[in-house]
Amino acid sequence: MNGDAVIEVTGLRKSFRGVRHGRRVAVDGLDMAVPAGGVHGFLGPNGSGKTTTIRMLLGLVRADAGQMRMLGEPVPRRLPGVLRQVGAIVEQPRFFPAFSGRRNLRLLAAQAGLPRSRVEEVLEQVGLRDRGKDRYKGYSLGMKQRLAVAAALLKAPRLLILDEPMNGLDPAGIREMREMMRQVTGAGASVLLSSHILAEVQQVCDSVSIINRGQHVRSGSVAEVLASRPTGEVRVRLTDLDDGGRILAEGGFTVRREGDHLLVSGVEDPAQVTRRLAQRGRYLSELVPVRADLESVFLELTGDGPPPGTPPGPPPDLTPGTSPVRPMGVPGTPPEPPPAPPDRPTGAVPAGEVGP
Amino acid sequence: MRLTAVELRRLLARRLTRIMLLFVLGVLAVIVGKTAYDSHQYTPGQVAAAQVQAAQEVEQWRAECRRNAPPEEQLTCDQIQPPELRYLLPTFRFAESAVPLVEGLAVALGLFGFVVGAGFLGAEWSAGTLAQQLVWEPRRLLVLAGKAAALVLGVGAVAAVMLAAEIGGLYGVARYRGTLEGTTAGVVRSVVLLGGRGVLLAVGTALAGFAIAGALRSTSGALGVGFAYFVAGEIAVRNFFPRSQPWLLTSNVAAWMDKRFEWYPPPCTTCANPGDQQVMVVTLSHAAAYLGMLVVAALLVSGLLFRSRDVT
Repeated sequence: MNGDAVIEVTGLRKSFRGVRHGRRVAVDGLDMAVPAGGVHGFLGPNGSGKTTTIRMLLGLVRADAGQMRMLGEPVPRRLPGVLRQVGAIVEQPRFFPAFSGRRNLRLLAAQAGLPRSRVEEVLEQVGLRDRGKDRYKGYSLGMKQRLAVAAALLKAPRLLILDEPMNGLDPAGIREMREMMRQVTGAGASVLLSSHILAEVQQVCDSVSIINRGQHVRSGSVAEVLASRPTGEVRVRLTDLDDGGRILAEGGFTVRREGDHLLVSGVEDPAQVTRRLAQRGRYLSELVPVRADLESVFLELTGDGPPPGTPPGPPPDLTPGTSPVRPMGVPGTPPEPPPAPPDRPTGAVPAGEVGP
Repeated sequence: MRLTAVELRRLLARRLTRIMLLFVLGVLAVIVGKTAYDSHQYTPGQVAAAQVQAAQEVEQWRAECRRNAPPEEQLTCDQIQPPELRYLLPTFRFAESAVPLVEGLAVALGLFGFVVGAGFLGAEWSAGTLAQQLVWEPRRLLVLAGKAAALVLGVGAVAAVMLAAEIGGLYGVARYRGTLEGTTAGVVRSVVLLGGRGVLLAVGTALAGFAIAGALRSTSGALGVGFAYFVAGEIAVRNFFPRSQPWLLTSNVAAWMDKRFEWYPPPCTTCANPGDQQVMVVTLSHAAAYLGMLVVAALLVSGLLFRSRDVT
């Protein structure tokens, strides 16, 4: 096992017995490592086993098989000691509805032997100081979520496990949550973030693990995961879009016009595009490789998205007469091999730059 | 210890606990208040008038007896005794009337204990706060023991204070508005011991409610089990299986409070004197052992389930 990981999971397995549908496997031989420091995104579709995994780590659910370590200690054997350094939110916030937010936190703090002043600190930190005296059941969903975060922060944890913490938060709340995570990691702690708001995960996470059907699918830094799924698309702008589109289509690319630019698919190397156009005396004003976002990578890896190479968005309309750009290539036809070296550097051309 | 202190704070802050506390206070106030209202101390003039009334009444009874009785029974008419003054001058007599009143409050405290105990753990399951707590303290049996200890302390203290207040209140009523006639040190000791058994009854029912709610993960489930047992279970079992009475909860609770419970099995048909009505007794020690065993068994089952089941 990796000594730098705050969470290590090997061969983790858990199944639940259902009344109607027999035994259902929730986690199926999961391997995962969460590196120390930074925010690690834990992604997977609904029912993929994220929450069950988190519950097993926290000792709420017993694993059928496998090994788990948190902060270097085997769990659940050493859980009592480990949990003193771990703050966690598991799914929805859970507090006594008739007690105030402050009283709920004070009970937790008293149980852990923490001073009352710590309660005020975390209430301040999550912006609930003025509403601390109100009953929990009167809180909005966002306030409940903030209180859960406050509870998780009470212990000044080395590891923060957040299961869907952004549920119910408004944009300002999401931004505060992001800032809170940065504060926590800035202080040296690590965060495991399970969320389905993928844009948010992409923005805040340093690394991710993607699971599906209880099994590990992909993990690594966000950049590595994105790079593992090139789109094969470039966005091209030039003076005469119709003319340029025709030339590229004749070269075997799949081309679609989108507003003031062309979306060219099936591009293994952007140099192929610049070369093809330059050979015909057309010059780019802009070329930008289209990067996959985490959502498309996630959907593709978990089987809910289009197959690799399919352009995002609506399918291209190749019917003659329906697009200013005719069907400009036969899908599946490989692009022509580049006949000559490019006359200018490949890659993105600075916007506004016009070729000779 | 810290866990127990936190749980005790939570127990006493719960609204259900406070509502049930008001209920028990109401029962206490009604018992002591009505006893005081119905009780009187009489002036020497009232006593003398009652004595005159008693003498007149007994003379009337004897005259009527002589008019109606055959000659050979006339002598018996002279043996008719005057009515006792206690019936003419009703008042609260601690030595005779304190016991059923203390038992009444003890039963109310038993109900208080069951509801508070069931709600204490059941509410945690319904609110999902046990998961939150286990993320702070994963040793489940320790968590459960802390809650049970808080319940014992909280319910025990409430029951002790309530019963002490009742016994003290009734003693005061007898002292100032009734009579302490016949109230020996032995009587007082017996009433205090009865109060002690009432405290244990409340603690026992609290633990039973706690254990059932823990096993079912629901307050309403525990209350439903209790209701179904008393409304359907006991009545049906008592009627269809009359010899099961030594094992019914009500029989044992009655024996626990009264130190014995007499019950009458169906008349014997095969014994030496067929038709003889036997009198069977559930003793205090039987009730103590049986009820104690039930509470311990319920706690063990609840603890094992809590330790082994997933918290989802």
